[in-house]
Amino acid sequence: MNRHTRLALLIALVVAAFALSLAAGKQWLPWAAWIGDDSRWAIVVELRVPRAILGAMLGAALGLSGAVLQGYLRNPLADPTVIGVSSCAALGAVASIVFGLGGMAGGLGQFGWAMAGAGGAMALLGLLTARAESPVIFVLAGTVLASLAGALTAFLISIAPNPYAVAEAIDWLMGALTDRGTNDVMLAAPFMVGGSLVLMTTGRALDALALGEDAARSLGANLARLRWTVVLGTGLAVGAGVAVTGVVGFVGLVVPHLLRPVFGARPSALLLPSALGGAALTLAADSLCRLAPGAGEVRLGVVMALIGAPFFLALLFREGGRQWR
Amino acid sequence: MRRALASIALALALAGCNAQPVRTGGIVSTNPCADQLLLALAPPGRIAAISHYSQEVGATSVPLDVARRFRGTAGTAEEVVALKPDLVLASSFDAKATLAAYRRLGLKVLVLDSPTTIAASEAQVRAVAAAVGAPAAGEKMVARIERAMASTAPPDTARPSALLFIQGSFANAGPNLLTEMLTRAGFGDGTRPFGMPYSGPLSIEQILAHPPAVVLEPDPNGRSGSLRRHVLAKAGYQVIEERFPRALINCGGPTIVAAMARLGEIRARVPR
Repeated sequence: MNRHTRLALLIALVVAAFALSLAAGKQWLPWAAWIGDDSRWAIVVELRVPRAILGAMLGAALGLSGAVLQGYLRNPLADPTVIGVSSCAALGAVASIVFGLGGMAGGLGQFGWAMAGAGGAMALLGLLTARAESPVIFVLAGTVLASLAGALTAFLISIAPNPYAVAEAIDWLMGALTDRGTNDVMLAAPFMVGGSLVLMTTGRALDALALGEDAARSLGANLARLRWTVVLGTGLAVGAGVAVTGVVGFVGLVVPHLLRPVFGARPSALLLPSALGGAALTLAADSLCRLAPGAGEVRLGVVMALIGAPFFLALLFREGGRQWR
Repeated sequence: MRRALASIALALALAGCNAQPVRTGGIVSTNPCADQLLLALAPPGRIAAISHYSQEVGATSVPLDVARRFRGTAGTAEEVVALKPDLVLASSFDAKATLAAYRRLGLKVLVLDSPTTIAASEAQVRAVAAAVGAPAAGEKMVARIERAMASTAPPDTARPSALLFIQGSFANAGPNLLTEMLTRAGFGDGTRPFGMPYSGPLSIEQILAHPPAVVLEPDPNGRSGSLRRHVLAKAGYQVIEERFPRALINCGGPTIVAAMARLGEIRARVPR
């Protein structure tokens, strides 16, 4: 099976997951709801379509940035959370919930605050690593930024004026695509698509970097520019994702590992497959969220960890870490 | 020389901080709902401090200008003990360690729980009134609550189903004070089809499966509220939407009077 066939299969998987995401839910929508005059049509158009589009974009952004970061840092543990952008975006959103600033203009406030958090993280990360070329400084700065943002988020939750603000903030931190509308898609799509396109340009430089920093430099790769591209691309794509859905982990970590045996370990060969794989995984997980028994939905961040972790452990067990030796 | 002047200035400034000696005695409350009862039942002169929650927009159940006349505490044992109060009104939600510290230090403490019925709230009013030595004021407040309940009896036998959102998509559900107030004001329980054992998030898809007649929410223009309204309208449902302020959601006691008045007003607007 050549690469094109494999990619085609992956695309088919995304389409199937997208269709499942449109149909699945607390109410399964029969064919009648899709054609003609049915009040359930509103569910499809106003809720499920935006939700599925967001899920696909979020998964693609996370999978892609995971693949880029694992290639850039040459570290199998890397994923978008290590560079602190998601935590800072989450901090911005929690601030808007706790201080009651999210109500402005139908949720625009919360998105703006989260994007401000993501932007702040990107600027800080750029400044902190401006003088060091090594990716090690990058990952250290990102990790510290992430734990600082985590601590500040916990602080904000601890001073929340009432228990309901706490409940909303924690609910939001768990990540979900529930009740996201066309507005959310319109807000996030430009950043997520833009960021992903930026990330797609890193392939060649990442391939060079796989040979080591010195070899990459001698091959003509511009490491400073690569670093800025990675910061900008991840910041925009993941920041906007977190701004509308909350924190969803595991996709960026697991998807490149799942696909490496299929598409090879060369970083550039993994970018597009990781975006597609991330989209399929997120859509499938989001459909599962809605099928959980009981009144409410399970949070996407939780489901992702529940299916991501065992998958990942099984993979580690089977492969014995072969790809990284 | 300059340093000497600076230290004198600092000493004067510190002396200024101490100009008002910390008064001792009186009653300290560490919970916004207890604050509200205390402010209504005890003379202002007997109130040594209230909780900082009552001085914040998102949490208070009393007018902010009233709350800001009093000293506020963050409810730590240190602050409370320093005031040497005659009585502490604490809540069962306070940290166990804080409550234990009060007892250890020999303070008289009345621990209030969160009342889940009108009757329990009235009992709490009487308990606080007795503890602050104002039983007559307590009886008067209970009578006001009873009058409010009687005067908001529903105008007809229809029971339009209502969903009450506390914040965002977080809906009130299960047996509690708000549910009892909604029932007594003549609303049906809009969460019944969902089988929610207690308050929690309710997605728009679920609401579309069993849309209520009335939606009550503190912030109709928030993120969840605007999308909910938009989708319900697109699906062709006519749902009456009314604002129900946050300050009416948090506590029982005197809040019941204001909350019932608002619920009665909304109920009267629902067409038969």
